[in-house]
Amino acid sequence: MAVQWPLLIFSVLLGVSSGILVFLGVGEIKGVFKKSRSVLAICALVLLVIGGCASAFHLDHIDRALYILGNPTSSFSRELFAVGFAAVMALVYAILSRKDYPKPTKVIGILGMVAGLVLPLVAGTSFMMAARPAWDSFLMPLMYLGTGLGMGFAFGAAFVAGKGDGAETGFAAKLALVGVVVSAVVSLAYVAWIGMAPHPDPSRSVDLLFSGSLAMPFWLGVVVLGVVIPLVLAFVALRSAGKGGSVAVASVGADGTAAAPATAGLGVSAPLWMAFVCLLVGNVALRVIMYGVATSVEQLIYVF
Amino acid sequence: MTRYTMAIDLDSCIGCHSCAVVCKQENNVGLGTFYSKVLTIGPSGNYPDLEMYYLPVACQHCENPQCVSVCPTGASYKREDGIVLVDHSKCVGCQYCVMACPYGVRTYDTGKDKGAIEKCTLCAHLVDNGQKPACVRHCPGQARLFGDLDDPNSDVSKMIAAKKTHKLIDVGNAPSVTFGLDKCEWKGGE
Amino acid sequence: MRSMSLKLNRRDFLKASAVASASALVLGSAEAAFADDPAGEAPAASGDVKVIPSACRQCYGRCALLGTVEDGRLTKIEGNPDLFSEGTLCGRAFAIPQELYNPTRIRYPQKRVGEKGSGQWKRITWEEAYQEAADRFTEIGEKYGWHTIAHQYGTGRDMLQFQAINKLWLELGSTATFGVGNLCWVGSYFTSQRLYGDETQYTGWDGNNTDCILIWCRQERSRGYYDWLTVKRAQERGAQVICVDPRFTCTASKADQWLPIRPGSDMALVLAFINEIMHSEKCATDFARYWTNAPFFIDEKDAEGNGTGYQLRQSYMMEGGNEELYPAWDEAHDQLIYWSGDWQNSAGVGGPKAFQWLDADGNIVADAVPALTTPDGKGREIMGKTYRTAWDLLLEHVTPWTIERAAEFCELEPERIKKAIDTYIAASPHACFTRGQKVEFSINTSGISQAMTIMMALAGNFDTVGGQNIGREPATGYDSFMFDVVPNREGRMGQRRKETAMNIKKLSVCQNTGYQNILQADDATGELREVVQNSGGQVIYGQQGGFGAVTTKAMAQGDPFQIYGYWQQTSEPILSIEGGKEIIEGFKNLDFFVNVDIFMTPSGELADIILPAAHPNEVDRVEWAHSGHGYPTSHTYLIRQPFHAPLGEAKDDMDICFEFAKYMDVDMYWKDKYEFFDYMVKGPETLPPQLSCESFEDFRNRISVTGVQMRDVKDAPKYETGFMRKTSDFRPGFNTMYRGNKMGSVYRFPGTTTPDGKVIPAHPQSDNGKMELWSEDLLLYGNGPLPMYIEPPITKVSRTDLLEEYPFTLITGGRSHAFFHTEYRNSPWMREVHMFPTMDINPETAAKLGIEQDDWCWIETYVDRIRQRANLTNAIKPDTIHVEHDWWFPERAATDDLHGALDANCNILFENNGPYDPAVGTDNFGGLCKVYKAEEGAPDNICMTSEDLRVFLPLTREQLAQDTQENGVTTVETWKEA
Repeated sequence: MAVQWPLLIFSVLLGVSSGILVFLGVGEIKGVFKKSRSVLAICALVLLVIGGCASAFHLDHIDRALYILGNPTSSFSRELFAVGFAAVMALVYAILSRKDYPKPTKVIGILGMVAGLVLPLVAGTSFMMAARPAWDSFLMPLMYLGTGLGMGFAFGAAFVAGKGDGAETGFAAKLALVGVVVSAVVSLAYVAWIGMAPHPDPSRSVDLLFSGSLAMPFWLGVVVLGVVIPLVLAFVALRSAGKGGSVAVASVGADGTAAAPATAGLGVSAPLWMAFVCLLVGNVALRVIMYGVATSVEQLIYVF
Repeated sequence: MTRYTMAIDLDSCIGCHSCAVVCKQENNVGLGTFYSKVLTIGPSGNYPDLEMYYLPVACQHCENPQCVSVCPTGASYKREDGIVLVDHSKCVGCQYCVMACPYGVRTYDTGKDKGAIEKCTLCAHLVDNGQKPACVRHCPGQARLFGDLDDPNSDVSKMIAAKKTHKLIDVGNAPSVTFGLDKCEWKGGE
Repeated sequence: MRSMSLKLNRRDFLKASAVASASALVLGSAEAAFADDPAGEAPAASGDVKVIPSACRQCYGRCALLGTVEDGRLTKIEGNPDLFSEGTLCGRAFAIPQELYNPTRIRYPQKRVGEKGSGQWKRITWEEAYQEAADRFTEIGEKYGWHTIAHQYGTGRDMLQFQAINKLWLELGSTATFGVGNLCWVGSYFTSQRLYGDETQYTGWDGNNTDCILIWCRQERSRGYYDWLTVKRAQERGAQVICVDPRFTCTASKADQWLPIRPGSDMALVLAFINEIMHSEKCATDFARYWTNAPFFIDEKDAEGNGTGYQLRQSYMMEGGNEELYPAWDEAHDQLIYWSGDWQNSAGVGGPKAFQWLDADGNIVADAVPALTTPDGKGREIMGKTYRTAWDLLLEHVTPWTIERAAEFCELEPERIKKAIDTYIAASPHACFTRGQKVEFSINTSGISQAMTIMMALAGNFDTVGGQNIGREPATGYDSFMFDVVPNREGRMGQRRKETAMNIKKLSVCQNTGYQNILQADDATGELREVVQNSGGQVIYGQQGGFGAVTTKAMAQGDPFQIYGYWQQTSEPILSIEGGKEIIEGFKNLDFFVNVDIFMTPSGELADIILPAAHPNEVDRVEWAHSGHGYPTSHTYLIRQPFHAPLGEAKDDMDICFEFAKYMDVDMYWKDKYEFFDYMVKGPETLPPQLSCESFEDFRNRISVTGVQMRDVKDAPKYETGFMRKTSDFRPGFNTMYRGNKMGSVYRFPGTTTPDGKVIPAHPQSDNGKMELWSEDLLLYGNGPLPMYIEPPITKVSRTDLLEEYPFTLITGGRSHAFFHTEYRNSPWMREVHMFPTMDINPETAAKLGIEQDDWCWIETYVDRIRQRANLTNAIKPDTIHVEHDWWFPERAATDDLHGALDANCNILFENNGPYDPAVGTDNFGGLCKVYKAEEGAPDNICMTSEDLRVFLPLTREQLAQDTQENGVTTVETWKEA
């Protein structure tokens, strides 16, 4: 299938959004990221809105949008509901977190986290189509979720680190590493699925990734930019956070105000921003591959 | 119940593409778009013991059409009588149905004013008038048969009873179109 | 990126209305009844919808169809379920509206105003066109002789207009044509006529009742697809289908047996069939004995040149002997008997004695048993001289052609051949045979057709249930040939035509042909040896005219004389005849050239005047299936009537001939086409009343008439009724005048008594009323009396010297389901299902040559090269390449290689210098080639995508009304986006 760019952009951005919402949810449970949470929630919302607008470009007949919920059980509709829910949670959270309503904030934050976990799963599930073997696996929604966590956590952690809140930086960096590891695992798991999918066909074989027309997006995009470099950078970030702020991190739970050296913050945020960008590119590459191998079981009249 | 569909006797099909062309006339199908097309399968085997058949393909009017379940607006729908159709007025052009169709028989026809998903309608407008689809009526090999699967006397049921039958790969969609082929080996997946 | 569009020439709206009614010579036309709205150009108005039953002329099949006409415009084509095509239609039928309203259609007479091939035209009136043509042709005729004007009618449109074109120009004294017959059908038709007086090879097979169908190089889906229904039903009944074809075609894939024969080696296989049949217990010896000339003695020429070489006559044996008496030996009475061939009662043994065995005293020997053979086949001594029978000679000729030898010649496994022959013999006399045109593309067409006739005859399949059925009668009215036969019979042949016929040896372009070297197989050893054929000049289809190659030479080189004028109708020789480039040269040499056609074509661009022909679905015709068939297809006439009047000022081809005849002062005999149609559908007095129509209008109301089968009428095979006798005369220089006496006065019912008591005399038969297995006529035509194996001139066997450079066997012309010869390349739907000229190549060969699926490739012979797109398929052997025929690109401009006439046209790959079939002039359209990838890809400026094909979409009513073609016909302009 040709790359569906509007859908691709949407899927990457909703991943970032979802990851941020989960990042914030974890923070809410831990009681951290209070300085950053509102801005991050707005970022999540904005990215979601941009992604949603991008995906609307996929529809040639937006004039008939009135009918769009005509089939509420369709994956598309479920996706729309999930996006709506996530967007509302992000908005409410962004507003609440600016005020001092700890309880509702926490509830909404956790609901936001749920939205952040559900949305990529729902979005990924909508591509699970028996017609396209390379998509038809639970590894697809897991990939959406996991890569979203990678990007969202890296984004969130970089932002938190950039705020220079040394006490939180270490924790954020740890989360970022976790996200990047999860992202790497699900990315490679999805690639493995491409190799294992039923109804094998040259048009969707892993050979295309390893040595064929998709080798460039795979090796450079997915492996180098999507896995290796982010892992290294996340590790570097964590190390640098550890040097300057291991105590601070330990004491975060206590008062949450301990200041880490500014240098440590920069040393953490810069690699994390870089990791985020690499992940972004890596995820674009991964989705290019995802469309590239999405041939249908039998392409009788049209190749789509 | 009524389950209208087609049965195609591949032993009778001579690969002439009449079905593809008459369909264009009957359904005003634009250039570049085909509701129906004919593939040549083979020749395969060891020369000179070869086998070849032609495979006319179009919407399989599945029992469990994935195109219908993924359609957000209900534009893609299955009628009570089994015919899968697209209501162009409701189609937003998301093309999920195109992705969900296992056979690549749907297309988004941007060449037309209607700008919507196009595919074989089983000539529902003719069927509703008690007629057969245009391709069935005109098939030079009389290879294309139309009828009700639930009626044992329909042309479709009779062919199914008389021949070795095959269907296109079923990935849970349960295609309803049956292919009859006795003379050579079926090369498609079951 | 490339895109294209049609550039409409400038229009002049005022002028359009001024000339709209300018046609003066309007013939009485029932077409007007269907033409409430002239030309489908009027704006949509009344919501008037008609469904008009008619016939399809998009191939030879003539399927019955229904046209929906809304406010004078054809909007839909459907099959008519009530007739032989059973409501089925192939894709080509649905292209009819796309043809009618095609932007490249000629709707007004045009005169060329630029150089030849410049594509610059100006609209003129019919009067101007006719007058100029009359003046120019008369000038040429008077200055150089009328034989220096060639005329041409092709496969386009129909058989009835052949008659009008032919009559018009024969009366004018024209002789040369490019022929259509020498490309197809006529070789077989001619030979069958010579041997037994009718045609059974393409048509006349009784698939409805057969146990075996032998299909020789014929596609199920080339024409008249309803034949496949017959074949398939036969198979369902248990009949075996055997396909002989070098390619694994659709037919091969459906057949029970496939014989992938080496191209051009067919004769070896047929001879093996005959050999096995003659040595089989099932050989139809009684048929041979009583209905063929097998028992006749042959007056062989010996080494010293003694003997005539002909069938023995009493007159050769003794002084004062009768030349209408053919001796044979009567086994019943151990005596010499004589067959009287004196049906004309010119030699004193006619009347009741004609077609009877007589004893030496001239008494009828009713119980004679003529001996097929002589003692040991060595001959019987009669009056001091030893004679062998035709049977002896045939048996001697075919006996060395064993299955093993055929296997070697044909590159087939012997078991495969044996199985096929056994199957055919086992099913006989309920086995039938049909063939495609490809066997015709050879220098041995008449020989192979003779061999196939012998095969069918000796297997006992003539006029049997499930075998070969001859002719259509008694079906419906008269045959189209009566158009010319009746006036000739009435003594209305013009003086110039008579004189031309009498001096044909000096006036024919064939006068120097017929002496040629060929590579013939020695019967005894099977070795190929060079021999000289001498026919004294080909005679095509009983016409003194000529054939493609010789007419080309006359135009291009002035050999044997220069041709100055040319009238072409329904034909495109540049594409369909070998040596297209030389034909172009020839056309450029012409002083004056009129082309009558529906569309702008490559050769049309070289004409001086173009006359717009009506589309076949804009005219009235009596139509009948030209394809395969058993009953009822073979016995049905159906109406082809217009969906609306011709667009613009286009006219029916027949009307054009009648109108121009008036300008040329030619007596066409018939007042107009309707007078002939009336005569035709009324038929002879002997026709059962229910099969006779009062008039064409009566026929129109009936839509079709289906006759009855001979076995229902006579309760006997047709040969026993006397039908299977040769009847028409195709002698050089003679036949044109008296051609077609088979349809003469009696409609082929020997001894019929009409209802009013009038006795119709025994029908004029042939020379002797026997089917000729050993053919004296073919001997005279240069083939020799028995079918000989001749290796085509350019094969890997005959030209080993070429093999190093051109290693692949090249075959051409396999039929396409989307086109009919040169037609429909401008139909968007047909092109869409078959976009490109396609070369079939085996994947193994392609891999060696680095050719991939859909690569454009050069196919090169020692003559020229063309480009087609590769299709990798196992349907063809690794050493063979197949390319499609008659390709051109109407999307290209006139100045762009005459609409792309030379890019993919396979017929330019062959030279036109002979040898040709000595009797009918057919040529060789296969050879040796090399193939390589065309690095430059597709030819320039051709439609590459469906989107590109939009240039051919039908014009709307408004566009048609506006485009008055003041400056020529719409042409396609291509450009590349910067």
